[in-house]
Amino acid sequence: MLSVTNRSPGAVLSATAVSRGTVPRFARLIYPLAWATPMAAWQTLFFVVPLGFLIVLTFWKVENYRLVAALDPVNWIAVYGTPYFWSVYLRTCAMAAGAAALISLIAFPCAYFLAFHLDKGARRLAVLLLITPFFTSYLVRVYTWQAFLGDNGLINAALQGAGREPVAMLNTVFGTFVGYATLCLPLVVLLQFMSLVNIDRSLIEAARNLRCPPWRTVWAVIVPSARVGLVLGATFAFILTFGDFVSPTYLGGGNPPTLGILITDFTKAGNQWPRAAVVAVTMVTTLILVAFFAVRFAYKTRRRSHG
Amino acid sequence: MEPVLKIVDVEKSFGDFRAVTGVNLEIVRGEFLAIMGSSGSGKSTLLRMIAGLEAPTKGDILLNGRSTRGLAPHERDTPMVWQSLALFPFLNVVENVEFGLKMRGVSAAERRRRALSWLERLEIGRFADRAIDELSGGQRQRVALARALVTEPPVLLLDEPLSALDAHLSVRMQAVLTNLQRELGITFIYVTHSHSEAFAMADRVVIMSEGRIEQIGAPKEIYLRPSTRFVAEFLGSNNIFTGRPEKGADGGGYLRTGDGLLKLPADADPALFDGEVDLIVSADRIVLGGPSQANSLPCRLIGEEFVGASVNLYLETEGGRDLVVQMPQRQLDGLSLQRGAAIAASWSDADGHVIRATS
Repeated sequence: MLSVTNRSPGAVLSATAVSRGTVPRFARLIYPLAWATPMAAWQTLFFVVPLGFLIVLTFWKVENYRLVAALDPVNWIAVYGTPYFWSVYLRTCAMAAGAAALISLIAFPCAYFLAFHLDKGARRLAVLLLITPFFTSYLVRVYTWQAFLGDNGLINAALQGAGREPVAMLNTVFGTFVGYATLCLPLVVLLQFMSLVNIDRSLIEAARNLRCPPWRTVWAVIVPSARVGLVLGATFAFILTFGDFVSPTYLGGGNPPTLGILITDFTKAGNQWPRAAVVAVTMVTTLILVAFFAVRFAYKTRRRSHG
Repeated sequence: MEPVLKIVDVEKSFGDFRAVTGVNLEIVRGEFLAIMGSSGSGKSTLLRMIAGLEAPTKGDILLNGRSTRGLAPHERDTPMVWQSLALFPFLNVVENVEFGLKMRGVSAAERRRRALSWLERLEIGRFADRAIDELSGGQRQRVALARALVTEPPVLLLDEPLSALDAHLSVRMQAVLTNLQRELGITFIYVTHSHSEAFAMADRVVIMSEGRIEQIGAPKEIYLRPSTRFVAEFLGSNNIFTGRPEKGADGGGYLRTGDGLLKLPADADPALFDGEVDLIVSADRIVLGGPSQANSLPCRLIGEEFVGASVNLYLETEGGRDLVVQMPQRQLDGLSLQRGAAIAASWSDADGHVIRATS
């Protein structure tokens, strides 16, 4: 018995040794490359190249409503020199950060319930239900909200029916946030749920065993154990809402504007594609930085305490 | 002595499956108790019920004389060392050890001091600031022990804590555990499937099978006098002869087997003689080729297996049954046996142990 189990790993080893000897080196390189190529080609063609063009575009000029190729920093100076741009930039950042925090907070109890209080079958059904919102276009779902939130919408009609004053919800920041939640909530719940459900249950039991009451395990064990999923969920919420144009426009009424609305304003007023490009490049850079720091924070190696 | 822990008629069912049934057990202060059984015997479920991680379906568990019914895990003082260790990967070594103290509201400075002193005691003080994944298996083991012991509990529960370690390290940790237990004088309840761990460390061993307790006793007692056939087989190195006992011409008891009459020990309970019995003879009590004793069977050597310093010899009797004989390596060298060789296997009737046969 013992000799048999001893032999088998050796047999595997010699098999790989043979394959190494006979398969040419370049073939071994080409195989993984062949898998990686479509993705790399796609990214190059539809992300790197347009991004490069976008950057080039920021240095072009507009003369008589026409784009003229140039290498002029005028657009950067014009956009960055306007306090208005910075107020829109900060507002967009604040709204996206607020949305990320708020949506994460709303999502957590839901994800927690799915992960810890449902049996396997019910959990599977819940995951399926969380996917169903993606069946319908986000734009359609936002239009549906207009029917609910409008001054003569369903909610206000119900309020008035109950003898209450109507409440302005459409074309407010509240409306925008309803749209943000529509966009992100199912995804954030899903991401949080995935990381919660994979927590080693014995860690929670160990905490209970060391006199940690159930409510306290949430902060002491569950949140730190699920950190990757929680941070990624919030990051996705930030990224999606930061660049979103639909909710601020159709539910927030475009006023006060966000960066997405600012881009359309630039293109409509005076055909200022280069200045719109400046805003776009600023947005892409911001998102790259946010994503970088978020991922670094999510996977941060365990800290050492000093004290 | 007042028992620290009293398990009264405890039963646990999961749906139709009875994981534990009819368990009664008293554990005194300072005792090292090993609960042994194969997987699915209910030993881990019993331990989890003591910790409050499972609630008994029936019966009660008394801790220091008080019922634990309705007490949540965090309301008991029964820290446990997990098989997986269950150390918190998001905390470093000293923070892991501090966890239990933090939950009790011990001040930051005080808990750091106590955690560090436990790490020192377990000789891992220099790893206090390390992340858990930077430690070896043996070091993690010590962190898990420190984390459970830092609150100085009356009872420590251990669920196969050494099963992930290699043999050498496991023996070293056994020494660490027994020394700690003796120094602290607290009760250890140690669940394991390993004979060597249980018999080397425990004051008393509980053997479980299919949710029931088969036997409770000191290691030597269980080893010499297994009370059921299951225990005799579970210990692994026993020869079991089944047959109907009868009175011999000399007035002693004999067992009729396919290999002729075997003399039963004089202290065998006469009450057993009305039905079939099992005669259990430990493999290390049988002598090969020596001076003839009360029972002697001509055998043929079939094979051998080396177990460290001793060797298990597998023989076949003339009646066609298997026989295991265990002897020190050196003794075997003196015999110069060939495979297939004929040799007499004999044992003193006093070394046999008789129990009622299970039909």
